[in-house]
Amino acid sequence: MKSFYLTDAGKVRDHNEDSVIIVKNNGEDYLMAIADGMGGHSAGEVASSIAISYLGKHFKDTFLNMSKVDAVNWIRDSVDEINTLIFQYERNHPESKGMGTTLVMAVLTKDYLLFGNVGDSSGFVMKDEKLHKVTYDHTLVNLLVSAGELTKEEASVHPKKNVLMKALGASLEVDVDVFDCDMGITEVLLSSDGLTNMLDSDQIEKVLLGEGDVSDKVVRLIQKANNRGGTDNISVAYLILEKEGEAQ
Amino acid sequence: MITKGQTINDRYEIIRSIGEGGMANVYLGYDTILDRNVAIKVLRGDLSNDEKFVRRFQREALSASSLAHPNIVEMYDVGEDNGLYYIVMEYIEGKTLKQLLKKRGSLTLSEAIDIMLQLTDGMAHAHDSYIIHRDLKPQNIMIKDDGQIKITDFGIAMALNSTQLTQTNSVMGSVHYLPPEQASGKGCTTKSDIYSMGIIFYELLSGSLPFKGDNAVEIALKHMRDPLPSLREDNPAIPQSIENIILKSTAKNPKNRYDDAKSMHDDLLTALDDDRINEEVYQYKYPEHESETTRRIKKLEEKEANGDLDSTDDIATKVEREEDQKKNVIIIILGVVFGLLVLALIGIFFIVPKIRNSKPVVVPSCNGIKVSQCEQKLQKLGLEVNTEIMSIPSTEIEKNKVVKTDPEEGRNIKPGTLVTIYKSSGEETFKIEDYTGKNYIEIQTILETKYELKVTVEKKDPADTTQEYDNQEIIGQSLAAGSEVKKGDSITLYIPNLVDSFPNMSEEGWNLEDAEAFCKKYGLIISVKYEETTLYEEGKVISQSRAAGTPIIKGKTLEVTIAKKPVPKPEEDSSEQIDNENGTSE
Repeated sequence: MKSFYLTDAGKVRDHNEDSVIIVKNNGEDYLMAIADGMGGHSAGEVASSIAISYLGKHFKDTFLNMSKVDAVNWIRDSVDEINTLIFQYERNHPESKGMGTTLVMAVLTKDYLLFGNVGDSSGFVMKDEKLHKVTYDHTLVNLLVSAGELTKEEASVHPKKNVLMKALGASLEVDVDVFDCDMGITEVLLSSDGLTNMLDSDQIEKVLLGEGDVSDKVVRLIQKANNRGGTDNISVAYLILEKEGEAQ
Repeated sequence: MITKGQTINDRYEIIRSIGEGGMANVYLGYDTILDRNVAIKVLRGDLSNDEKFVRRFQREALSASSLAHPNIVEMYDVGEDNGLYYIVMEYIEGKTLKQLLKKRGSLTLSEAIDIMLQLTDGMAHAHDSYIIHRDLKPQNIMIKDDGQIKITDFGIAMALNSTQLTQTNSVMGSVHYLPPEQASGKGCTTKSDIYSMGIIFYELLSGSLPFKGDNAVEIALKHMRDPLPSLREDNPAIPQSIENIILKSTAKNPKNRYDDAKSMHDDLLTALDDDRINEEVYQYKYPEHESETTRRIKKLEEKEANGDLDSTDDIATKVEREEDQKKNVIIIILGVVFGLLVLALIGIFFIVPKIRNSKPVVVPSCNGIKVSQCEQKLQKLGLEVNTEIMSIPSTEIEKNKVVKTDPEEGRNIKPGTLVTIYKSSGEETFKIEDYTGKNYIEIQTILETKYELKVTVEKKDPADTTQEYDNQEIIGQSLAAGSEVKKGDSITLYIPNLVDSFPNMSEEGWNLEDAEAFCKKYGLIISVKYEETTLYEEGKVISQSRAAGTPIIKGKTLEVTIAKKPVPKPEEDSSEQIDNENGTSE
């Protein structure tokens, strides 16, 4: 396994509201996660770091030899807990009212790969040298596209394209999408919308299939997004699975 | 973070927080220079760091500050202090329309029209200056205690909608007033504001929103696809002409809407005119969904073409919550339990009586007979009679005679069952209340629909001429409060006979100022002529071009002839004339 993650404030914003993590537990299981915070008075940073620091610790403490069904429940319980934590923080810090965060995560074990997602950060997998987006963005425009009311072109220039339908900290009940991935995956990539708003899937795929090691590719993705404007914080978490028998 | 007592730019003292929005916080402040309370909107910290956003925010706030209209909240100042960007606005004491609706449910027709007239008037002024609100909703409209409304949140709504600036994420706000073209990402025009105003009008009259759904997308889709539910279906008292205004303003295709807020305002002004009573349902000129089918097909094809990259089906499957499966188990269990219950009930109703072996009796007819006779009938059959006799109103059965029994006539019941007798209390009557000061349309509707009274409305000169009356206000009623009436009775409601025809100005001794004020009030154009005379005092009206008693029609010209002192010397004539002109041209 090789993995690397990086976050960058971008070229417009002077602070970074994204948080990102890749951790390995005592066994052979990996957790990758990216949270993209929002809200004034630095509350965005707080919200995303509440999410990521809880997830990292909780994974190390509790995630071991879990069956797939247990892992799905683990993802759901973690998301509910993070949502509660954000509301608790808001109660104690009134100036941060209205804060929230998106969250995308991947849990990888020998037997399965699960994704969890709330909001518009993305999870991708590489299979047979082809990049596939696994998660579904909870944005207004994306839902209008699936309802057949908008074309993809219209959606990409839509004035409300960053308006979220779901986020942690937005409502007391939060319903996280969980995806169960096929095995035979060679790479896993998570990113915040700072990357996907600047680069489309083909461009990301090209970088990942190109030259360089795992960290070079992550750095190159962020550079490319910045060259195209870098209007938002950019975060990338990237993991390459080793082939069977190849010890890490 | 802004705290109480803090002073912004050494001028505005923060008194307290009065609201928190997604992008800005609002405070009640005190302007120490001009000695007045103000509302101060402070942009949230994270957005203050975005230079592009701040520039736009200030520019838009400034352009909105060019609006001066009684129905638009006045902007006083825009500025920056220590990295805090703020707008200073007129402070309105009152509540938002949303709060009013929450308290009152729906509003009466005349109230709703009054609010809409003010709203369209204010928006017409904004549209004249090419300013689009983009986020009109009852939450953004304040209403003062005297009924005056103020539209708020102009600049911010606009700054937020620009494409470059929405790179930051935000959680979906209200889509209840979202025009279809805005959901589909086409630009916002003045017609988008008209759509939102139509939805607001609907909400004022019905007390509820036309499109509801579990989530924002469902609602947005309904705005795009579903025709507006009919107001008149629920409340036939609403005139078709009013529903037409809503239909026209909420058309899906912007081409079918009013061209501007001004024409909507004008339509509202005449909607209750007599000649529009039997108006036809408004028909859209252009198709509501332009080339709908081709568009859909195009999108579906496109979806299939692009499907490979985004569909997760071949790579991942979404894991549904197990609660759904648990639910199924619960349903099965519930089904079994319910089945058992039904069996048990069947047993109780059919089997138990048989075991008891008492022969059931049929409840006899007691309609129209005396209570005592009915009691005897029932007791003969071995039934128990409830000692408490109930009374209900009835138009068919004479007073104090039996109307019905419970259990009803014809039912098979066991001997010994308790039977209640209902006697007639005669025709249903109710007491008339004191309706003075209420709106006659409202009262007329209640009396006609609920109590089926015949209501006539008559105009009457009010007894107290010093008081100001609304032309829909009830000033008297033919039946005194407390009198009893029944279905089909008549009542007359009196409303004030307000001047709507020309008075005799010269007879009533009017002078030029009076005539000018009169013309201003009724929207007439005044034209003044002078005539030298000694018969009238100088400045008094001698004659008028429109006869006394004829109806006033707005926009017409009224020529009045004013008395002027005859000038003996011809040389001084010209200077006198100038004086006179100066005196009257104010």
